[in-house]
Amino acid sequence: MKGSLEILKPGLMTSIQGVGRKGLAYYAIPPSGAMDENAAQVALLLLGKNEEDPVLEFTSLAPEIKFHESTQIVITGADFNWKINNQSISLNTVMSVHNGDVLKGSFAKKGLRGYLAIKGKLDIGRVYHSYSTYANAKLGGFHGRFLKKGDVLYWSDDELDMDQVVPFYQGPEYAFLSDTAKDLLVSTVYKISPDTNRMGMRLVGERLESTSYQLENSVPVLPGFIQLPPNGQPIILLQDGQTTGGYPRIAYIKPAFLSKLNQFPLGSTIQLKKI
Amino acid sequence: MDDSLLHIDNYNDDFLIITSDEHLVLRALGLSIFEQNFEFVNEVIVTEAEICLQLNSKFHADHLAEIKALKVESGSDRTRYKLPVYFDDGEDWTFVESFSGLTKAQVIKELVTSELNISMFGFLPGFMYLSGLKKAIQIPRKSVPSKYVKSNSIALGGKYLGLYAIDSPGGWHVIGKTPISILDITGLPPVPMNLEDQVQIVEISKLEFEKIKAEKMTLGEYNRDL
Repeated sequence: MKGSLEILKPGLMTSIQGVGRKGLAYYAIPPSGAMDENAAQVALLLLGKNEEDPVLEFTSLAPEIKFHESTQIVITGADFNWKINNQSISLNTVMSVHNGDVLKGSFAKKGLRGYLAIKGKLDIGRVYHSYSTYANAKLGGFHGRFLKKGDVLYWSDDELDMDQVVPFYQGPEYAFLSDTAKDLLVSTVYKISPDTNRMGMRLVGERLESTSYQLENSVPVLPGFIQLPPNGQPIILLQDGQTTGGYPRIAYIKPAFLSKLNQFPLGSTIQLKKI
Repeated sequence: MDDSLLHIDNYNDDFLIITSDEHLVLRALGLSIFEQNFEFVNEVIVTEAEICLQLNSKFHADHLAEIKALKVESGSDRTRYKLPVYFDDGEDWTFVESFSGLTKAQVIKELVTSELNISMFGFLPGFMYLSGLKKAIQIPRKSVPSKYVKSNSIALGGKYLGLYAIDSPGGWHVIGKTPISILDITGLPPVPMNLEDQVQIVEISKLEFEKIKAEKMTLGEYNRDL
């Protein structure tokens, strides 16, 4: 789904920023990026977004922004006395905005800069790997400049959130799986069993064929490892799971993905994707 | 450590699996690696056949040489312990009897005459893997693990006899229980035994079980009193 926001009043020095562009000082190109990295990161984290995603940075005087579609937003940094449709709102909180809502504020109190992150993926390209604006050289961000009255920024919803796709790598006993089983592992739409808890996520789907469902020795396992017990239904080991086990370790999920995986509701479906 | 003895597999710099044809060297190497506290290693898990090292972003390929270069201490003294077990009438006995073709009494006889030693800790805190089971009573693990095994249960799983020190799910066949709680999680290591210590299972009656449990006897006290 696509949406947009319109700049009704630009405020003072409002621009798109992200993490800076690193390693180009050799060419006299400075890093740019959010002046208060922490505040920008808090906004992104609260929305579950990637730390490299772009945000809007405001300085001293707040802009006036009209939303043309629903999304969720977070505002962090200095207190600009923000209001949505003339009602005061809080900083550092996820809130919903809808078509027609107007966000505005006044001068910054207790600080100088503020940040707005939105749930949707902003339609901004990277320049030298960064979304940040360096206006002096007209580099990056929104056409390399500060935002003006009339500017429109577009966004789309993150498709990956809609399907719960789980990337995995081959585990030490991946070769035990038959060719059919390897295909099934990535094509099956698995249901997350209600038996799932902090020790493990049990998946329900067609039985996977394997040369063996029991190892001769108990072997080490870590959170994210995927085991195949004799019923052929994979179990993803989680943070309270055991440290050793006797079932084949057919695959594993990187620890960094567990934050996302562990928010998938019980009874919902996932699909596994081999990296 | 002799380079040719070790085989190291690197999984995308996420973790290493170290194996060796000489299983016994892995235990000593695992302890060395654990005590070394490498900054590029988050976790060290040592089992009979493998060592797994969970790596962090500080790891790079040059570190493999550091692992291979570790000096490894040889084994320490072993202690013999007797472990009292009351063999109650749990539901898993049906499968154990039918798979082994032995009666409960015959299984118990095989067990108390097996020379067992602690070959691994792992799975859960306090869980012990005892090797040395006679072939006749090696029973394969359950195809669907049980959701609940009570703490201090003794169970058969493949070539091991296991002791569940805490309540947990489990895929092994529970055949009895011990009145002695060996786990003390407030200290490290959380159990008072070492790898390769020898364990002999001693059959006790229900009455003896209740008595020892009521006295909150420790493993050391039980063995001292014998």
